[in-house]
Amino acid sequence: MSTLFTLRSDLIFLGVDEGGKEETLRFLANQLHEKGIVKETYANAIIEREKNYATGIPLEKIGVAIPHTDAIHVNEPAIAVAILEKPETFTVMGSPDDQVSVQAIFMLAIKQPSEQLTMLSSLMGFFQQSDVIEKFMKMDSTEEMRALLEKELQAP
Amino acid sequence: MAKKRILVACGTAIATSTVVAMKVKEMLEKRGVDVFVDQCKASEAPSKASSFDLIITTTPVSGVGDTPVIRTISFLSGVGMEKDMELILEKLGLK
Repeated sequence: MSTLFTLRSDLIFLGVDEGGKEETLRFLANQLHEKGIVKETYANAIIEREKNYATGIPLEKIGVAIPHTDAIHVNEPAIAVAILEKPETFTVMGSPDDQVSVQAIFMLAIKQPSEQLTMLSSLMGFFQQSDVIEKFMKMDSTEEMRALLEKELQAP
Repeated sequence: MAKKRILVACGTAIATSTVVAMKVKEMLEKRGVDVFVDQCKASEAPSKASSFDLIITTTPVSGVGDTPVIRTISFLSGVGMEKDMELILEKLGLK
């Protein structure tokens, strides 16, 4: 079964400690760029967009962020994941005055929103299952994490 | 009764409004409410607002006149989703 997003274990990073939010975003964006998934312009576009339209989301137990930007910066759809060594403070999506402590970043490279809708929607479904997220956060194998993500993000 | 019209807005109309639009439509249909849902960038909301009964947004919007606005990310996080659904029904005059 093909997914509409590239999920690769080499795009999942554990214990990420880049020394700041912007550095972490740039690190993930650079990883996507190195693999040819996004264009060189993607990193700056992600950082700019996060300033204007923050993507922090407080879930039931943890905080996540889903940075993304316009399709023109993207070559192919993918998700890069960073589990942070220590939480970074993100602004809550839609609430410029509220902050959330983020433990995991899911950076989205979106090419065709309409086609990737099911995957995006399943990602939100994944976020809503506290027990699955908890299990995911405790994993220490990127391959296991990729497999869990793939299972959760497949269209039902 | 005319079909209610909901506009879903987010920063770039790429990801979150798409997900929210689908989720809201699905949840309302489950309750037997047939709605027209469109999505746009937050910056486009003022020019589109007048032809909609309700705006749901994941980012602050302004200049949308009398059209009621619900700002929420519950349809993304799952936290507070049922409460927001009640609010949507109320704003649409359906309860």
